[in-house]
Amino acid sequence: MIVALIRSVLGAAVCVFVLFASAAHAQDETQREATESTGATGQEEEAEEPAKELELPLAGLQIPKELPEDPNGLSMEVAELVALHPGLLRAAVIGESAGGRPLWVIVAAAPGFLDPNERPALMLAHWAESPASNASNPVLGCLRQMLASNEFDLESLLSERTLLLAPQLNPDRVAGDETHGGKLQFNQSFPARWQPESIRPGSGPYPLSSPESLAVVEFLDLNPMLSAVAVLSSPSELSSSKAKPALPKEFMLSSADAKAGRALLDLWSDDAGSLAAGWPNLASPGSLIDWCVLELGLVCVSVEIEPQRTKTEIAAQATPWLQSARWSARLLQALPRIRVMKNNVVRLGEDLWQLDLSIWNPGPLGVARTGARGLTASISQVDLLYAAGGLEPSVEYALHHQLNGDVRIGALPAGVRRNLRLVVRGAEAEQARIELRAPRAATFGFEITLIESGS
Amino acid sequence: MQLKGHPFRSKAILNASWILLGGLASSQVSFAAPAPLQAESTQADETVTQDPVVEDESQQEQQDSQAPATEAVSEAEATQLEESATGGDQPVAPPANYSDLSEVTAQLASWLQRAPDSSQAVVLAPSRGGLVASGVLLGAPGPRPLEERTTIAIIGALDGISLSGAEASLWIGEQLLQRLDELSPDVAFAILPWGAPDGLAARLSGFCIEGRNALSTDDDGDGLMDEDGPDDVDGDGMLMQMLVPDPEGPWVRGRDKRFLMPAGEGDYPRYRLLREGSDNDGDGLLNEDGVGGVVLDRHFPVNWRGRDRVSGAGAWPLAEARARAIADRLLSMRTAIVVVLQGNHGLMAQPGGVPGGLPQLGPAELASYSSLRRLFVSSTGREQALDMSLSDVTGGQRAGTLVDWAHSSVGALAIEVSPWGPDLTRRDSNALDAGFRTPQLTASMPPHWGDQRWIHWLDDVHGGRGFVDWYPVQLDNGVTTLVGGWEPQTCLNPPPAELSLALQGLPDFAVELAAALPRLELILVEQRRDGELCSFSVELINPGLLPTGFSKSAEVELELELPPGAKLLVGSMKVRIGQIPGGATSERSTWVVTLPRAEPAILRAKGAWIAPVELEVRP
Repeated sequence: MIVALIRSVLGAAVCVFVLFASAAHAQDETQREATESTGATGQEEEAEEPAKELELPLAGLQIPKELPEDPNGLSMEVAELVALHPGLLRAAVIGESAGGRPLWVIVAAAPGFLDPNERPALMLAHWAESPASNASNPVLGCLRQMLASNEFDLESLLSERTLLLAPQLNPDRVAGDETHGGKLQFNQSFPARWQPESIRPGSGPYPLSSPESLAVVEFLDLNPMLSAVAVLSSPSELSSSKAKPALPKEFMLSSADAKAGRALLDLWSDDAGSLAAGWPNLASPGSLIDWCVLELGLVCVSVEIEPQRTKTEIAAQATPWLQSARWSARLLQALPRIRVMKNNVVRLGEDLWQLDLSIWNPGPLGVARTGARGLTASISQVDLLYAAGGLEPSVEYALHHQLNGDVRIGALPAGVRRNLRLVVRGAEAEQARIELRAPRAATFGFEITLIESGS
Repeated sequence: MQLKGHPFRSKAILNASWILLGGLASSQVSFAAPAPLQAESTQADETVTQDPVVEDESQQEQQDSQAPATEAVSEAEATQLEESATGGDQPVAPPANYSDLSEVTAQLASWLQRAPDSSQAVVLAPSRGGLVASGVLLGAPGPRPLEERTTIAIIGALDGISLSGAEASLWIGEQLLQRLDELSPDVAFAILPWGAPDGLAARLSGFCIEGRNALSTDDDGDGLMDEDGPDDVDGDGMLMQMLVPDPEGPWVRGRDKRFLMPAGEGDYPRYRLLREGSDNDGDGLLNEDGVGGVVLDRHFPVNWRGRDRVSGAGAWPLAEARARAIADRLLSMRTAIVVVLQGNHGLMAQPGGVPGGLPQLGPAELASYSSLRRLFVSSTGREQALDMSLSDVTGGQRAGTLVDWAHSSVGALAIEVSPWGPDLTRRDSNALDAGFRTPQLTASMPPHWGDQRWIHWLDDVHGGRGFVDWYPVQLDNGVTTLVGGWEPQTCLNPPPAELSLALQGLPDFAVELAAALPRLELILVEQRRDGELCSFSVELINPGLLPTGFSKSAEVELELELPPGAKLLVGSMKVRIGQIPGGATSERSTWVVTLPRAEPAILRAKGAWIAPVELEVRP
């Protein structure tokens, strides 16, 4: 009966895990700013198109044919939430635990111009470290709070960003399934600084030897727009985050990433004084956070929740997850963005033009991890001859590598402003089309008319 | 990997040194025809035909992604493999040439055909390129099934480069097949000659992918895959090495200008050492995104350093199905020893690919590895005075190796043995003297010491042939580089004529390893009966050279099984004995039971490496 209900509620949309983004009515803050400052034509003006089907890069995801009884009635809760907010929430099973329990991920994304796949994303996750069959799920509680309160304008907040919610990544453990969830420790089996069983019991014969951890890694690895992971942890995990031995140099974060982590932690405020921690205090060999930080370059933070609050206790409180919900909203607002602050168009010859742009990431998160592919500008509709750039306030420009109209600009850390100078060939009044793309920031496109500034 | 369309595919690299040095006609050199090429080709006559049965298995396994990555072949499949045997070929001399995959498959099939009671095929997951390179379990005839025996795994060329390692695996298997009567019926060998099929097939065909498998990767993060790999920029038909001037480069040319030295303070001019190649994608970088993905011997979890920190390490450890299949296979057997045959140091190396990393060997483990080294020296005639780790023998870090993981997680003794090495030809008499004056250098050995060790081989044995002196070549971007270095099939793999030298003594080493394995003998030292009241005491003896294991989970246990009506009065149904060193006897264990006269008590001893042994006690 339960299975039938869930399946009917979720329906085909969940089975194929398709996201629907309606036409782009929401005014993109970034583009509005650019339009005002550059006089460029924003994308929204050409975006009058019907709703389109979008697929997340999650090929092969399917709801199990026979849903098992999962801990805490999680499937039912997920189904209810999705049914109540069909325009905002979609859900999918990204894998199964060793005991056959579903691993749910809810995708929260409001209609907006960009595909939810292409928006910067935050993941809010939780996993159980001990059996707690009647405990309220903090991730779902946080989501309910955000949905219920007028304080959070989710439609606006999620029109440019995507929130991924993983309510329970270790369902066998929470169900007290000792056969499958007892011996192998979920949070020791990830492939970063992993240690073998002989050194650290519970790590398994090799990393990702449990289906849970493998499913999580495959899911996250397929989501290049993910910028940060926030974990609602049990106190035992956070309290063990103190007094860690120093990490080898090769595992230390760049100063920019460390600064970003501190900035996200500063967004947490809790009168109750709950613990909050970021890297490297969260470092633990073979942990999911180690992997997210060291391999994906994500910023990871964690705050303490009360793991054993029962549903009855929760129901007695008016706003039990308010702090977590506020923090989540702040984290969403902190996801990377690209701004274009000004431009200057100079006529160099009859059909030769100099375009000056200033590109800025207001932060606090950088658009790409240190050393990885960063910002790229694609120029079309005119011929690109040269591209050069430099950091403000320097006036010394270095030539950028360019290939087939693409200009590779590189990293754009939080708070950094880069000047970009393009020399293009085109007729007067033609429009140069420029798209700025970066991992973990929404693609930003605009057009500049080839008319000399001030004329 | 788009092998078919890649320019290297049609560029057969002429290996003149093989002809010059080995005296072999070029037609005698085997060039592998990798299966992906066959699969993509519409011209059947362009390729060497792979065994059709194996190809079918490959397709089936690729279609069924839910199938287990590793499995013993069914009886029908084994029969088909047997039918693919070349029939009657029983090599008695070491190979004088390198086998391609079809020849390896045929040889394994011939083993199954020639010794049906002593062999069993093992099919592992195909490579990324779709190549199916199987293995075989071998052992003396006996009542215990092969898969339940104490096992020595012999894995060839997991680095995807060491063709000599692959040949050594085949040669060991071939010799074992003829020496089955020297083996205990409780021992099995798991032989996997082509550990990394994509890399080996490519190397055999002169296609340079540095031992990587056929996974396409975007190494430089530009959204394109495999677009900027090595090229033959000077058009001489060989892919050599290239020195690129760089004020920050780590290398300078040494006193012998052919070889490089790490740059010290004030040293100039400095270079970066790359494969020969140009900037194909115009991004200002050279060869930063070549063909191929994962080097399987950098792909295991222990000391794995991350996808961005070690080239070819993979997205995460054991992400590649073939590596995972090898891991699962080793975990599923009573694997006591893992021998990886690869490299060109000519030595036996014990775990320790990363100084200061895992595993940290304890005294008992160090003693066992010393025992193995002594067996290696006595069997092969080589000289190796010191126990050396993986990082010692190569003078650099080796992250994510099978050897480090197999020791740490399988709990096996794991070693790397290099058939080929610079000092194999350093002989003054008929007796093989490998001449390894292995140094007191282990602590401070510079990363380039391997090159220095090869100077003697190059100059005294080969008259300087096999190395192209550095000469200037101007790249398209105007940069003048130096191209030169070792020719193919010189220091990484021996010329075919010297292959037999590289394999000498290795089958003996395998037989010695089998003889050194731990065994358990249950000795009844005392028994008494007084009516139904009985007592008995036993000791466990390990007559082998090696201990019964290392890890806590591998401790020997004694189980008592009583018949119905019997009752245990003193003692325990399960006794933890712990580890028994080689040649040692355990403490005595005693039980007092009530036992009907007609029924025996059964004692069963077992350890992780050793199949259970039983003793019926009838006081």
